[in-house]
Amino acid sequence: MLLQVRELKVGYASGADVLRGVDLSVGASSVTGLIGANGAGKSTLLKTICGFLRRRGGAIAFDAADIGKLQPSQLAAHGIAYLMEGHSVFPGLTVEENLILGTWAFRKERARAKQAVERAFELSSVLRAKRKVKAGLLSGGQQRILEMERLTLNDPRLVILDEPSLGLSPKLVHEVFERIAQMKADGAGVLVVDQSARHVCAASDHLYVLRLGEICIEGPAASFSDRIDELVRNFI
Amino acid sequence: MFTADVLIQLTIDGVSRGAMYGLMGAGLALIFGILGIINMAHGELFMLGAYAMYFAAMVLGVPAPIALLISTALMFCVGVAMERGLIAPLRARLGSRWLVDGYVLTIGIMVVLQNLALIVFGPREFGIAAFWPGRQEFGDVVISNERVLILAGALFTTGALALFLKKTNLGRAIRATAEHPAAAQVLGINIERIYAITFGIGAALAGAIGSLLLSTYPAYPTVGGEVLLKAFVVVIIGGLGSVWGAMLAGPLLGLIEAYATAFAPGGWQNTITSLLVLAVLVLRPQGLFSRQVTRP
Amino acid sequence: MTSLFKNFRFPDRRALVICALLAGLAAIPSLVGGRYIPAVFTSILLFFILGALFDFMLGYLRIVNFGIAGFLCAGAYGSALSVQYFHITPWTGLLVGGLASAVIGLITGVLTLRLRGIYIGLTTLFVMETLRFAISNAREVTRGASGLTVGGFTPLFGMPFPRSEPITYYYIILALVIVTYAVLYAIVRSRIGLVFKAIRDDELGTSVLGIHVVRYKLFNFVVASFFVGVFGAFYAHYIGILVPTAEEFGIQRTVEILTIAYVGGRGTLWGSLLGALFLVGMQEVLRDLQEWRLVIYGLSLILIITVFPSGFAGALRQLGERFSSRAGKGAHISTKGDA
Repeated sequence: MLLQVRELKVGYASGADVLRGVDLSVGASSVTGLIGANGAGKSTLLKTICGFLRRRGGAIAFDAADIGKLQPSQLAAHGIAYLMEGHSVFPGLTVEENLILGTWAFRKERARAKQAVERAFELSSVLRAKRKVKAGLLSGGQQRILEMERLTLNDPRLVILDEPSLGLSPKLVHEVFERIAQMKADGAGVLVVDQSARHVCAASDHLYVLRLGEICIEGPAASFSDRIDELVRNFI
Repeated sequence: MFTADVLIQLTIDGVSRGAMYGLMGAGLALIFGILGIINMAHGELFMLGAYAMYFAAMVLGVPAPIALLISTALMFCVGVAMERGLIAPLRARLGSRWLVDGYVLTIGIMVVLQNLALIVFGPREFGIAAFWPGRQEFGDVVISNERVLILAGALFTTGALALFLKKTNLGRAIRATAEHPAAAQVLGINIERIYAITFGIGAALAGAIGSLLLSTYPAYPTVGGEVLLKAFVVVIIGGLGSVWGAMLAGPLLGLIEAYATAFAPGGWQNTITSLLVLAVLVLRPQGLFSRQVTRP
Repeated sequence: MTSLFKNFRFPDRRALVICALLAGLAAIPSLVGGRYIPAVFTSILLFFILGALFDFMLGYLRIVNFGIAGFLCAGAYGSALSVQYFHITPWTGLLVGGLASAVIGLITGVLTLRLRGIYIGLTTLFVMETLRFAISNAREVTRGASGLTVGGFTPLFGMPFPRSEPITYYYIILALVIVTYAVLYAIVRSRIGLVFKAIRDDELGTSVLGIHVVRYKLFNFVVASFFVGVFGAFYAHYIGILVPTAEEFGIQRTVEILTIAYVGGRGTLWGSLLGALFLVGMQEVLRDLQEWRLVIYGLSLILIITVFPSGFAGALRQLGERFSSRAGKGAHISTKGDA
């Protein structure tokens, strides 16, 4: 397993844990979905894995090595990409500059960095057209595309996505999930949290349902595909 | 009453002085953009740079360009040390609520540096007559070589800073950290290092300008106060945290001052500039040049 | 013993302490007499109340008034000039000075209190500098840098106030300080003070409750400006000559006041008394080391912020809590929430 989370406990205030012992794992070349109601602790889980929050108990292992003390700035060097909640483009920097910063982890390998940025422009006609435009002037959907492309520039082995489809048009939602499938095809393990349970279920290999800080159901996503509506009704 | 050559003279004076204000402001804006605090000790960094220049050039006898480099490098280190030693621990302890204390802390640093300088160097002014005596004549317009040197130095430094921020990885990382520190971290940027380096760059700029201006602003303990006020004016007109705004506002302030000194009755130009600043603060707090890029 | 103390609620006990302190402050200089001690105590009281006023803004609403020396300046020149040109008495001058400063405070507040905190700091700073520059330049009216001489307080109810006897001025400022402190104390203890703290701790949350945050800030700011102006006026008639320098009415004076508020302990008002005692006292003890005075101010500020953010007041409170928890183990209920 690429990522293994064991008995993870996290709390903001003492005594009230947001996560009360979560077990979860993500394999390479697969998509793992995580769904749950608002406040179930999904974002908290992702933030803890990525080093923005400190755990109170349990273990987080990446590639069998403990990453519980990881700083967010060490993620990229480990080959972990994280799409955080909300917007994360640098609005005052151009699209190109945003992408160049996506290669920060291997900035010393100039040729590779340059090539990665050019490949992103080849893949996305939207970004190509806006190359020299400030990212803050893009539409919400275009910003999301930029974020997704910036995420994969250094060929991450693990991609963690927090609500990638939030606020997007149906067409763009489709595009985002296609991109996720592409990441999987490239060999990355993907952990995705999203409010559209149906899309997550369709895109995932394995599915977890988080409820009040605990995993209440898990299993191969295929086993849920016919009863996803029931699942949403009962737990989300 | 005012002939064309006098106007040209005033313009050149204004721009060369203003470009320096702009650079002081740019340093202040860089630090503000990254840390969210106004560095009240910025004028004292200017002062220390000036002293360093004086001692390197006049006491140790190092050639002026090398003395300039020494003083700039020294001030970079002072800036990094200030950030690491005092500001970073405070930020780590207080989290997001450290801002007010942060700038009061820089006031403390300002007071200590200013008065230590008074104790160590005394109130006397350490100045240099001119790095490059003589003058250039272009028809009726006469410019001292010193002015040419200062203008060239200011333009060169401004250009170098702009290129650095625009074209280098570190420069881009600084701008990115100012806009979205968490996203910058996720990409692998060590923002603590960026904070320290940015503070160092701001300090180095202040030191470099203090050194370059040694012939016009000799080093004395309270020289920083006056300079800090100019830098404030510049960042307010240019918009808090906007480096480009400060670079533009500097020459603008220089021109206003030059013309105001020539046309307004003696002494009132200070009042005029501070009224102007109040007007900007009240009517356009985001600064004169900022086009706000908003998130959808 | 313990049962006796139990009936006192913490603030009441503190009120007692304050009364005792004030009695002491009234008694000591008159008992010691002479000219030196009353002058030092006048300075302590002046810095105490200015520190408390600074704290009234900073410690309760997080308003940083970098231009507090400018409001002092407005009060001082406001009173001195109206005494000189409109022949009012210095006693009316106190009111005029306060109003002059309050008007500037009102205008500044209306224009900037809706903006982010840093703008208030910068605007007040430039209000201060504008005022100072204008006074330096309007030499025909203010005599600029050569200094404006101001007369002392005129006799009141047959009581004379000669400058040669500083003790008489000490009584004036003591009375003014008591009135001012009582007003500030009443405000922070009232419902308004509660709102202040709510705003300080969570401005957005408070505004969501339907509380008009800017109005409260404006009230706070104008009240503080008024009193700063009153003490500016007192200062003018006490010191006898006004010069618009940075040491008197510029950044340096602001730094002194701010340091006293910080060293004393923010959000307490009375902490400034400790701050003023310490810093003015230190200054008197180290008279031979004049130039080190401001270094000490700066170092105290840095130390307080980095090492001991709650200041002297916080230290005293911790000491008190340790003592009371040792004395009344078991029955003890923490009074921390009260503070």
